[in-house]
Amino acid sequence: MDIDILKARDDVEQTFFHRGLQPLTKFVMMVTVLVVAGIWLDVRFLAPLFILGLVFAILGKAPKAWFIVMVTALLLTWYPTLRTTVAQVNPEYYNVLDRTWAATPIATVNIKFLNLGEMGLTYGTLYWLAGRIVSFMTVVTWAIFFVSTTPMNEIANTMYALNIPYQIVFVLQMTYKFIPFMSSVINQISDAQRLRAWSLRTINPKKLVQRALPIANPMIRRTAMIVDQVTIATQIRGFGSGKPTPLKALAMKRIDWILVIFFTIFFIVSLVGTIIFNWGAL
Amino acid sequence: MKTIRYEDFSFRYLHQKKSEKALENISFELDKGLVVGVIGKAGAGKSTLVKTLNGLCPQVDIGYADGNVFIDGDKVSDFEVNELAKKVGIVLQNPEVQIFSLTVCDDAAFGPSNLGVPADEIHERVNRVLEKLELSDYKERSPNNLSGGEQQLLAIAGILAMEPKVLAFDEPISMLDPIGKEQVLKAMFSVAEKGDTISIITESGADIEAIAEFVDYVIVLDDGKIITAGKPSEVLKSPLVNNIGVGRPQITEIFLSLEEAGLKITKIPVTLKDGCEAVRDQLSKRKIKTITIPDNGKKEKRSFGERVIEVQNLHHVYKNGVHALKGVSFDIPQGQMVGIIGQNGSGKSTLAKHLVGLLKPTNKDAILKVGGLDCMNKKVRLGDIIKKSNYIFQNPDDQLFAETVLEEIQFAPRMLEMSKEQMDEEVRHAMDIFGLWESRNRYVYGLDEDLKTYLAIACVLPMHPEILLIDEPTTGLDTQGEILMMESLHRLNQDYGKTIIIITHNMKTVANHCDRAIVLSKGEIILDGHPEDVYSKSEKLLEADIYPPQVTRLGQSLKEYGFPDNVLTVKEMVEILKFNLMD
Repeated sequence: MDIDILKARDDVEQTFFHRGLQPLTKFVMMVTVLVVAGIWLDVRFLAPLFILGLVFAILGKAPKAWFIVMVTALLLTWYPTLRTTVAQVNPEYYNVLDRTWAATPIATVNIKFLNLGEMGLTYGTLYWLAGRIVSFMTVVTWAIFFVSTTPMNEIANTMYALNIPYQIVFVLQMTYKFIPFMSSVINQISDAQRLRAWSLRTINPKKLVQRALPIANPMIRRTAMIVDQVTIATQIRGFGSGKPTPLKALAMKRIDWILVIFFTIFFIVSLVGTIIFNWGAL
Repeated sequence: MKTIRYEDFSFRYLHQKKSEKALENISFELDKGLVVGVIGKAGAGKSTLVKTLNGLCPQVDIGYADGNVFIDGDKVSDFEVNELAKKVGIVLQNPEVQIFSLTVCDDAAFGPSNLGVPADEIHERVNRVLEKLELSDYKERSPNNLSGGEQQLLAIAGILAMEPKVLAFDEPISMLDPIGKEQVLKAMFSVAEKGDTISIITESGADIEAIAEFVDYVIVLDDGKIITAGKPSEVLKSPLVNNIGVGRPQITEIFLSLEEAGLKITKIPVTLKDGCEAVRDQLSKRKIKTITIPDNGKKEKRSFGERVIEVQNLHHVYKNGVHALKGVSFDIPQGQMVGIIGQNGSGKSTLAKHLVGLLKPTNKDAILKVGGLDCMNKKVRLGDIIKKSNYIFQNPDDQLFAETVLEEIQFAPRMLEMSKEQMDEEVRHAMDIFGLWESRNRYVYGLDEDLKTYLAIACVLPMHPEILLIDEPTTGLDTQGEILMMESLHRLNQDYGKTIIIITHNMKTVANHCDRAIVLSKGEIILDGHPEDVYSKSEKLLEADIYPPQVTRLGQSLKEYGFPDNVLTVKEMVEILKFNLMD
């Protein structure tokens, strides 16, 4: 047994969020925040949600690399974000903020082409942009918190306990398990072909298709073989002979109930506040 | 009532002609408490036989079946495969495809959960089975992070937790290191010891010694027919087993050779323990306390050319933090035949990938020179290295993609944009080395395993690599196929001056064919030298989960009589014994 491999992959620190909360609780927390953060635009409302998610993710020892991916994704979407931002100039879009302040121009231009009207940066558009960025970071941070503190097997067990059809849970599990496996198969095939002087580099579309065959053919064949073997293996292990026994009951503790009730109330109050009192609107 | 009963059972797959049969007129009965070995060369029908135990053939692998199979009194054809899962458990060769869940504990529980066993009983079964297979410490671990042997044990645990009456293993040990093989076989044996289960294991020949140690009964299959069956001591000494290409345990070979030479032997042994006893008997009959080693007992060592590989202080740390190679250093001269051995996950494949440029050392002070190219130099590209050194992966299916054998070998010359004349010449040359010319228009996917491996090697020859690394060239081959494969590699080595490096779990292959063995353990070279020297250090080998071949272990077990601890081949041992036991 290679000790190094086990250390590198398995000795993930187990925090309170890993062991102390049920997946269902974390799921309710995450979904609540995702919905609320999706409808709120005001950075003052969004910031506390983001900070809370960040604190939870840090306490849950979420990998730092995942935050780097979040920031990278944010930077990569700069063009569509900017395009939407510069279109938020019209002061009538703002019902809560002071329209005069919101419409104060920083750099605007009136585009007559197709009657697009005024576009550019105002205090309002910048405020809208800040809200948009924080909203994105809130959603991703809570997702990181959930994924990094909830092993897939616990999600599957919870789904079984919630009577979600076992075929759906099985497909989910298999997808999760076989994606890294298939990725290693693709790497192996690609390495084997590179050793035969194979390269995909060409600008000729016909050659490009031809050159994809050395990867595609073995890949399709291996996939078919794996599907065949998995089918056999599931039959051998009695899959489909009846409803499986859930391995773990849904054991909600007091802290789980407190959090579920709190976030449910928060969800209802936020929705009501948003509809009636314009919470989170600009 | 017998637990397993086959009544004149025949089966052919949907794609087979009426005249062909995967299994033909199979009839036998087996009682509980047995460990049964089903042996036969590749394609003899072993896997098909296992799949008929629970109806996988013909229900999932569709085909035509005649006759009946009964398990514990139930006719198999009356049940669905998953209904029979309560009675028949099958462990397949590749554990990766039969582990579904995301922790060891959940995976062991997958089967009984599907059968609707109450949760409390599932937990009790799982705990018991994991403890028995020494997997309790890994309960919450991801199966992906277990070694090959441990994954196979988990696959067995998953089946054992279903408490079947029949437990069948389809070549479960071929991809494991020697200790992993022993772990799996011991687990099988301990289940059978309980007395209410039958264990069946299939084998093509490479691990026949390991099988002989554990089974009570052997069924020999050839071309889908049972050609003989009985106790291992009776069956394994039969010339039939040798004739069909499976091969016999080295111990049995030694005593059959001695018998043929005229030595009177009352019982031909098939296990190491019985072999040691038989030698001791013979020596004590002659009152020999210390043997004499004949002068011609050792072969001359070959000489080699210039250094073609230089590796100094090579480290490789993967992005996930795994330190796969820890300061590896060695040289390989031109024309040497080297075997790299070590347990699963010891760093063998990582090292091989460095030697062909697929990976670079992660430390800047490493020295890595292959075929005169300094691989640490950023200007040296993969395309340059593969013309000096190339690597054939274990599974030829990862590499082969073309329709015909000819097109497959033409691929590399086309990518290198050779002229038509040059390409034709190179392709013909590569085909001739492996005798593939006759098969040039054959459909690649229809080739047998040995031909696919030959083809995979032939595909890289037009690039003229002076170094060839071959990963597990004999896996999946029967004994006869293994001999032919190694003869071909010797031809490349001796006639064409290629330096050959093989990565293998087969200790006999290294003993019989290599000039040098490099043993890797946890990313470090722990032994490096002639196989005679390496295999004599049995305690050090254990660090790498390795046992020497059976014939070497025989000498080591008889050290008190002065037997050398580095005998590599059956022939050498027979000469020593003949010299001492025959007048």
